Amino acid sequence: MKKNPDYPEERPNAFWNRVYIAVVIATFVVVTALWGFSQYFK
Amino acid sequence: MRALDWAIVFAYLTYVIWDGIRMTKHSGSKEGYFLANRGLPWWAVGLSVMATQMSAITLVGTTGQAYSDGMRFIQFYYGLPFAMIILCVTVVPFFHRANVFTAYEYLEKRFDVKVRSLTSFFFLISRGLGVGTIISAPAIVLSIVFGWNLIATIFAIGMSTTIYTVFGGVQAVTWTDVKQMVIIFFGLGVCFFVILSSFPAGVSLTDGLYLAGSLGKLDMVDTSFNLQEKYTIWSGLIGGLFLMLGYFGCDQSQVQRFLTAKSVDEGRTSLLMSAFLKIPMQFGILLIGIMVFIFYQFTAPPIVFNNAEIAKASQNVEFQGIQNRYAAAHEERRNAAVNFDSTDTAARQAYLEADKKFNESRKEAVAHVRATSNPSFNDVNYVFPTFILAHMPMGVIGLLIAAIFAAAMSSIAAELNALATATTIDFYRRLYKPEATDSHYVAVGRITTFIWGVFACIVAIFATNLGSLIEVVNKFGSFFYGSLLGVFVLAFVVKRARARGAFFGLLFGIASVWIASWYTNIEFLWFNVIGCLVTVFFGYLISLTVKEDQDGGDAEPESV
Repeated sequence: MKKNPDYPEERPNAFWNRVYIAVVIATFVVVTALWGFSQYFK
Repeated sequence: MRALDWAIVFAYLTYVIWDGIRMTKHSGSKEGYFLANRGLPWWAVGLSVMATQMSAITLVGTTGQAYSDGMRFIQFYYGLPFAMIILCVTVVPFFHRANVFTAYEYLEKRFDVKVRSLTSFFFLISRGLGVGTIISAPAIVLSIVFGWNLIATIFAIGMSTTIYTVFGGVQAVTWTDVKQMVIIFFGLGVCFFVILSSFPAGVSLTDGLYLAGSLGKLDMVDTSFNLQEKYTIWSGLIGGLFLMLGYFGCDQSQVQRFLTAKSVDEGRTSLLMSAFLKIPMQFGILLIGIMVFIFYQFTAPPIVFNNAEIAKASQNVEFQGIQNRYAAAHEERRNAAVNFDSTDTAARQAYLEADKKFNESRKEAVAHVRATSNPSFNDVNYVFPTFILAHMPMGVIGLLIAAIFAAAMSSIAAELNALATATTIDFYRRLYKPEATDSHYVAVGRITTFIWGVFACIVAIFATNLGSLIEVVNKFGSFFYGSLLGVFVLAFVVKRARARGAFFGLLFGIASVWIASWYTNIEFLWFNVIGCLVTVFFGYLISLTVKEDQDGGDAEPESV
């Protein structure tokens, strides 16, 4: 792929691995919060 | 609708068409027209990804579903964040580095032209028919609720989108998607506060949520493992994961979104935007449906949400009796809702019983409509537009109609653009005219976009006459995703996979889904799992019959 000087080089895999873990944790937190929401008003 | 509402809708349509057409200047080359010169920022691509996924029927259907069935539909999206992670690791870098225009082009590099053409062909069939239903579904609802001419509504939605997509290409699709998402969010936000302000004095949002919660309408996690149950956490996590992998990773209408990103990193970020925002966004849309439900605890809802059916049925004496019982049941439920106290068991029980009686009288009305007029009658998609027309103030009606148009047009534009890209790149350029100028391919792209736009409008007109066709075509589309995903799994993961295996594995996969749909009661989300697994299994087995150094294009996938 051509490199474009207007944007930075690709970030390392370690960075993306942390992002993916953050997505998994965020999803778990959101689903738990939705479950808590439904239980609270049940 | 009053003059102000019409003015807002026309202003929206005019602005979107103008905004799309002015992108023509960026669309002179093949890369510009089909891929925006691979130069779009992640946030624009991310919003475009979300806008493409959210069609008008998603918007009005989801709110209607929350009204009638509660919020459990949200479980459908629980697999999406995990699908996005897998796609960020696999297809985003693969496709970007392969410098392809379509997802299927990659399959020729990995397998051969037959596999590429077959997968692209299945995409054209399923999406070509699917885009017709994306137009027809909201057109039917809007024309019935607002009394508009159906064919005029179809062409207003379909051809206005076609015009700017023809001229502006993917640039127009993406940048109008961004503005359309802003209109959708703004419209829904205004709608939320207007409904909230319409609650009777003394009824707060919390009170309303207790009412909905007591009926189980706020349940969003069902842990039961039942293949016949449509929405559970397992069907969402497993079936939804496969569906989202197939949709975002193998459907050109979504692949083309992240191919326009500036880099692999920006493509990944655009998909992860959906991973973070999709579930909260769906929660917001479903919550509006719940708000409508709470509103109708205190204000009498129509007996069925379809004025045309009410007008037909009202001539019948039996139906008038049902209407009287319905009115009495609503009054009883309204009183029970006013006296509801979540800590008072007796008041709670009285409300539950009143709601049960109310639902029985409504079921009676629906059964009457089905028996006397329309056997497949279902008014879920009519709830939100009927509510808008009856209870929203002047100006807000126009804004919400513009939001529904925006949701429809954002999906249609992306689909038309993807159909034109696959037709031009996978068939016209690959099989008919491989050495032509950029301007020639752009011209072909414009012509094919227009043809697909007209085709979609014609399909939409036929789909309105054959109500069950909508269901058939939607199911038809879902039959392909798992199997197409299976071909990409063979390409990316199975080193021993060969072209013959991928080709016949795909056919086996699609056949298995058809068999499962005809002979079992398995819900459609699981079809994606079945299609993918069967394709991979048979694709691998058949590949073993081919010598290792034969029939495979690149024997191994390009490294990530």
